[in-house]
Amino acid sequence: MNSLLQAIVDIWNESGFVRLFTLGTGNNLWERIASGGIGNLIMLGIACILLYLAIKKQFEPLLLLPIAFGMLLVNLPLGEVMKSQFNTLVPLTEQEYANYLKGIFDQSYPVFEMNGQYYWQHFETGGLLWYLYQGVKFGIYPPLIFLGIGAMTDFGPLIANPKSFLLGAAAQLGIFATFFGAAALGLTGISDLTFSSQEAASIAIIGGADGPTAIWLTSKLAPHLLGPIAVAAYSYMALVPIIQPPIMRALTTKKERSVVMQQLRPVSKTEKIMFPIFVTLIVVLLLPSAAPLVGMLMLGNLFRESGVVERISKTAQNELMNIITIFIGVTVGATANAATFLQPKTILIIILGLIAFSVGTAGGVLFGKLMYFFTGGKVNPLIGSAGVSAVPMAARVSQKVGQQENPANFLLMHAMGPNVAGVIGSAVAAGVLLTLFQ
Amino acid sequence: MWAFDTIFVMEGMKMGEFKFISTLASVKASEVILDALFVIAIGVIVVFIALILLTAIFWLFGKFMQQGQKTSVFEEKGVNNDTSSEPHILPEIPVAEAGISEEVVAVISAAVAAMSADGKRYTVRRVRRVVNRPVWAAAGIAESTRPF
Repeated sequence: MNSLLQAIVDIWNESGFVRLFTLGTGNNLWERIASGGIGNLIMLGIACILLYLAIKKQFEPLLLLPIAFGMLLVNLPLGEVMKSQFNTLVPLTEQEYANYLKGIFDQSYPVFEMNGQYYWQHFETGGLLWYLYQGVKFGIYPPLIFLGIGAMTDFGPLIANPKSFLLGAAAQLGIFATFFGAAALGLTGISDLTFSSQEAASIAIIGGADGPTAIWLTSKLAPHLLGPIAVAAYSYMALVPIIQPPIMRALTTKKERSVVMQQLRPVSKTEKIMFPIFVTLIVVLLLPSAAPLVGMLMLGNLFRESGVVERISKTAQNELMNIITIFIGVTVGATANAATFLQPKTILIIILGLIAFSVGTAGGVLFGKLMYFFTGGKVNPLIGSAGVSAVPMAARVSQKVGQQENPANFLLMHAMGPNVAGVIGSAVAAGVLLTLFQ
Repeated sequence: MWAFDTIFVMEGMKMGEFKFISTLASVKASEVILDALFVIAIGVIVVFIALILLTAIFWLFGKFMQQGQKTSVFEEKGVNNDTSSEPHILPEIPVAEAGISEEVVAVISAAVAAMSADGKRYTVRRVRRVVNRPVWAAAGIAESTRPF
C-alpha cells in the first residue's frame, strides 16, 4: 500500500502541476519568476485572456485563437512542444560494432569513425511545434499567406485610381517614425529599454498593420521577439475600429469628411492581368529583398485575374490559406514562452506598436488632406487611413466614419485602393528594413 | 544593442555597406538621432519611389486603355454611320418573353430601380430566359464541371 502511495506521490511530483509553482534561476525575483513555473502560470493566464478575446469578442479570431492556444501549449511545463531537435554522437559498444561489421545495424543511424572509435549519430526528436515552426523561421509561411491574400484581393479600385498608391506609401510613415522612437530609447542607457537596430525595425513594422509582413521581417531580424510582436500586430489590427476613428476625426474637418468622391471607372480584364506582372517587375527590380512577399502576393492575384487556373486560385484562397494560418498562428504563439515574453521590453513593444499604428493612420490621413487640397476637394482624406493595410477592416472604418457625416456617402471602394496599396507599401517597407539591417 | 553596432557613416554610403564609426563609449545622442533619421529618410524615399513609379505606370496604362476603348467605340459608331443611309428596320422583339408574367417583370424592374441610388437611371428593355433548365440545376452542373 505504501509503495502504491509512493508511486502516486512520485507521479504527482514529476507532473507539470508541481512545476507550475516553482521559481527558476536569475539575478532578481522577476527573472526567477519569468524563468520558472510561475512565469508559465502567468503566461497561461495571458493565453486564456487572448482566447477570450478571440472567441467572445471575435478579435481577429482566425489568428488570435491559434496564437493563444500555441501560447497555452508551450507554457505547459514538460510538454516540450517547442523542444528543438538535436544530434549527438554515441560510441558503439563492442557488440554493436560487431553487428555493424556484419551489417546488422539500423541504417537510418549513420555511423562515423573518429580516432579509431566508431560512433552512431543519435537524433533527439524535437517537439511537434518546433518542426512546424521551421516554416516561420525560414520565412516560408508569410509569403504563402500572401499568395492566398493575392488570390482573394481585387486590385480593381487601385488600378482605377492609381493615386491611391501614394496614400498606401504615406501610411507607412508610422513604421519609420516608430523605428526612430525605438532607436531613441537606447539613449536612456537602460539595457531593458534598449533595442538593437534589428529589434527596432521588427517593432516598427507593426505600423504596417500587416501580420504576415510583421512575422516575416521579425523572423529574419529578431526571432526572439516573434511572440510579442505578433500578438501586438494582430491585437491592433483587431482594434482598428477603435484606434483609427478618433485620429481621423482629429485631423480632418467636417467639410473634408463629407466629400463625396466620383465613381471609379470600370477596370478592364487586361489591366487586372497586367497589374500583378508590372508590380512584380517594378518592385522586385527596385527592392529584391521584397521578392518573396510581393512575388507571392502578385502570383496569387494573377491566379485570380487570369481566370484560367480557377482550381489553383480557389485552393490558394481557401485550403492553403487555412492550413498555413493554422501553422503560423500556433507556432508564433508557441514562441511566446514565459522567459522571452515576460520582459519589460514586451510592454514597450505593445506601446511602440500602438504609436506605429497611430502615426501610420495619421500619415495616411494627412496625405489624404494634401490630396484634398491639390485636387480642389475631390478626395476625401478619410480614405488615407486605409493605407495602413489591415484589409478590409481599415477600409470599412473609412466608410463608417464617412457615413457618420453623410449617410449617403459610400467611400468603401475608394478606400479599398489605399487599403490594398498599403499591403504593397508595407511589403516594400519590410524589404527596405531587411536590406538595411539583415 | 542598437547603440553598439549601427552607427552609420552618413556620406558616400550605399545600402548594405555600413561602416562603424563609433563604439558605445563615444556614442553621442546626436549621432543616434542622425542615424535613425537616416533610416527614416532612406525608408520613406524608397517606399515613395516604388509606389510613385507604380502610380505613374498604372495612370499611363489606364489612360492608354481608356483611349483604346474610346477608339473602338468610335469605330463601331463609324460602321453604323456608314449604314445609316439605308433604312434600318429592327425586328420587333417582345419586351418580356412569353411565359414571364407581368408580376415577375415588375419585380425585376424594382430590383433594377434599387440600383439607381447612385443617381443613374436604368431601364429594363427586355426580359428573357437565358437557360432552359432550372437555375439550381444549372448551378449544380457549373459547380460539378468547373474543375474540368
